[in-house]
Amino acid sequence: MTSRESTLRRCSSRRFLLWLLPWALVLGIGVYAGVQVLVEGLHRTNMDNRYAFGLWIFLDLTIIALGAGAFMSGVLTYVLRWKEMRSVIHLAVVVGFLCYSGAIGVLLVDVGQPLRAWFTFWHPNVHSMLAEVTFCLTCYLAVLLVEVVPIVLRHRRLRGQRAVATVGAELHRGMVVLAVLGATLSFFHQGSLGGLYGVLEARPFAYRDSFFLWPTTFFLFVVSAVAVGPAFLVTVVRMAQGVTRRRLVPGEALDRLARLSGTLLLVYLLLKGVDTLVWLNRTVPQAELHPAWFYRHPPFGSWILVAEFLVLGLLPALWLRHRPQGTGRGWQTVAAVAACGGIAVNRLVATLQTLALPTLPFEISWQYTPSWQEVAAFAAVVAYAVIATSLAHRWLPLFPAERNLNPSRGR
Amino acid sequence: MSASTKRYGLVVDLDRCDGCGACTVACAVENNVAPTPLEAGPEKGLTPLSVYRVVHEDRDGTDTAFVPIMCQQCAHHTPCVRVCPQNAVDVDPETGVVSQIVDRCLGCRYCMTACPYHARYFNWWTPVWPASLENTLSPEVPVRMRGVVEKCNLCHGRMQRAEDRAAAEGRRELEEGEMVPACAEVCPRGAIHFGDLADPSTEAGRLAAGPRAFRLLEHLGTDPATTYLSSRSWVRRIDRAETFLESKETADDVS
Amino acid sequence: MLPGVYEFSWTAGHVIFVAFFISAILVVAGYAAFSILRAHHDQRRGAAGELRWHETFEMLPSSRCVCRHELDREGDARLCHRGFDCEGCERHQQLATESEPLSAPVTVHGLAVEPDELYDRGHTTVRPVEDDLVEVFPDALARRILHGCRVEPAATDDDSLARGDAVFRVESDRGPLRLLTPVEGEVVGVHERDGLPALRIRPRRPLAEQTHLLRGGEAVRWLESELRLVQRAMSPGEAAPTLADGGEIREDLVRVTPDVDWDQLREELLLDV
Repeated sequence: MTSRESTLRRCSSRRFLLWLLPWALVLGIGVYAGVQVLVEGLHRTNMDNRYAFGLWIFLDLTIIALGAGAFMSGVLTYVLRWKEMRSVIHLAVVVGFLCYSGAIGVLLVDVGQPLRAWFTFWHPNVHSMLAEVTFCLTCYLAVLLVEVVPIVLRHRRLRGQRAVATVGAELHRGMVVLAVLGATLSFFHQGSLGGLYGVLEARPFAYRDSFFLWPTTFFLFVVSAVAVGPAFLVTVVRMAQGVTRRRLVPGEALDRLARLSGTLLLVYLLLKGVDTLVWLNRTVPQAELHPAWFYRHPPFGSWILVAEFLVLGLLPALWLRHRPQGTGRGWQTVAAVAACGGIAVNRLVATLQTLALPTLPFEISWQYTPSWQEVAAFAAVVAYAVIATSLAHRWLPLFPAERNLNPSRGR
Repeated sequence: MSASTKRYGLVVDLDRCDGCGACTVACAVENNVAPTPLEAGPEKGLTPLSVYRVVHEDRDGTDTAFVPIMCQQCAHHTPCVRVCPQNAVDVDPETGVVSQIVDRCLGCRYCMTACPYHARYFNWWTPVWPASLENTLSPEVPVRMRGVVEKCNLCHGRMQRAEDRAAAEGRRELEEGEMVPACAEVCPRGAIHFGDLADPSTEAGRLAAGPRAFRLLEHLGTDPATTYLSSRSWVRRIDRAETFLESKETADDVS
Repeated sequence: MLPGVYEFSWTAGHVIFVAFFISAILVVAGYAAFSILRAHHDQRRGAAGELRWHETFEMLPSSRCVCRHELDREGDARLCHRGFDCEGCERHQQLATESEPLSAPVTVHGLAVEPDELYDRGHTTVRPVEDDLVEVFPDALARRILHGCRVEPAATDDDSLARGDAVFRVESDRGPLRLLTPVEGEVVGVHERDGLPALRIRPRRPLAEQTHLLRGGEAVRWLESELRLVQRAMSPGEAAPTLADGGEIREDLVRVTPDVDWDQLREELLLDV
């Protein structure tokens, strides 16, 4: 590590702009695509009457699951008081905010009448999972906003104003309240996203029996989000460390997050395995179907089960939980990425495979390939997150442990 | 079902249907469906009533059936009603008719995901009529805008007109045949019937209770009102599990 | 939703839903409003500085939080968790001995520790000037590392200073830097000394009771530990400090070592991260 990178000194403005430029371009194209869809209509996408949900809903579900690291970190830091979490809590909150705001941005383009978004609050169907999602997402975004504000107020120029600094400090003081509220809201909206599919009684592939008030997918989505959130944080930190070429978070903190993620992933896989067995042996036969039929429609073959449970499930979970002695943290990063990929596959299966499967045998199987507008909007969300995180790292104390890990050294 | 005494619905005789598609056209005209843009394929077309051609092969030879699919007016845990986040789908407790409140629809398309019959359609384009065709618009049916979901609502405009006429004559109840949806009116082979399926004294009610009657995906618990008739056993099984696995049927959407 | 919407009727589900939603929004809005109100109250009763100091202290790297009784230790030294408020610290009460007074100024690498001055760990000095007044001024190391910077007073006559409030302000590339007040009290005058501002303050408590201030031999040991930090910052890579015994810190140290990240070093030395 060169001396430049071992201080807090940020790269030159020119270099920073060069870093931002391609992401800004991607963001610009995505915004253009979104505006085009808003102005001309959703016919610009490749969604259709069979694939009513497409890439964007998959994106929303995935990034909301990955952004669960925010509420997990809040609980670990402020409720369970894990000291190591102090080095990642700011990042977790910012990443969470970006994930949720990005998801809502895409949702506003995805619905046919975005100006009617308030109708869900005015005419709520309390039996609808999507109503529950809408309410909880809105509340949780408000929570994240209040959690992000103190971080933003730590910008040195803002902190120079005494009133601003005091407000920031007071907002930060009682964070445990927001951490508990955030965890409660996240429980409901993560679960409701799973319940979106689990309640589809007329879609045997997606439908699940109920446990208490909700289908089992409700609980599986909660557990999977809780499990993958820390892994995503590890991934983001490693990417940031790779880009900035400096240590930002103590390795011990990342190890602890990785172990937690691995443990929770194992719990999730166990629950999902039980749920799948019940689905295979009870739910599907009750719908007078055979499970093999669900995996006969390309590209959704039985390889998906192997990918979700084994390659992107059990293997990374075990690696994260029990990183073998002597192995580098590089493999830990790979395992974290794979774990995130496994959850993404789960959301993909829930969204696209559910819709790909004909419900009436005489229906033709349709294929779905996202249009460039959908891909561009997807990429724009990623670009938005990268740009915002880059700006946050440049101007805000995104990594409180960075000073400790990078004491000033001469060249 | 609630305490309603009526269950309005369609009975479609698949032994009579020859797939001419007149019902589809009549439905579009009656319900102010705009001409489909040239770039719209079957995937994005707006066809509240679609006709499928199903070809069956077995050792006895090849047979064909035409299956008009529209909103099945489900009664039990009506999938679209349950999932709509803003109560934009309504079930009339008196008639069992499932209506779409297009002015309330957000266009989230969750109902389309929930519907196993794919009987719901999204307005992917802003409906546009060439200037002369605007003269064909029915004033009894609201025009929908881009970004909302719609479906068959059993010709609500005609129902309203019939009820108004009956009320003007001092009656609360419609007589049999007083209300005829566009698809039933125009079918040249009389394959579509409409009426109170819960009333065995009506023709529709009698047909719906007959030995040829079956309903699609009834085993999934949707309790659809729309009833199909066929004397052919393979047709009565077209929504069954073994049909999925045998894959002897091929189909295309002719509408 | 409200009565008046066609066919709407309240059910238990609606009550639970709306109650939960409104409660959540109320908690968030209430929390934000309460925090702003509390901040306003802090400002009015002069507690804003202390609140901010504690938040800043949490952000300091561990190398800046070493307990005053372990300044001689290199690596693995005990850390202070009280924001350098030694008054209520049990450990300080056990270990505190009268620091050996200096009979004459002691020079550490060209930086003087005066016998009549007390030192705050944020590199301000306190010097009694009259019966009940003290002069607050940046210490020698602060003057070196702020050489070439514009230092301005952050308080004016009659201002009341509490813990965590700033006495001097420096503009840096990364934003304003604050030197914190070593004592609580009222500002009675601002003057200039050696081209830098100095404040005359009437402390609220006698200097003898200001247990957090370093003096005498303890101040010398502290300055030596601070200089070790500076030397490490100036040394290339992982090399050990290179300032030879007897070597002096130049006045224009900042100008002749442009490769050192002086912004970071100033923030950490002046405890204003």
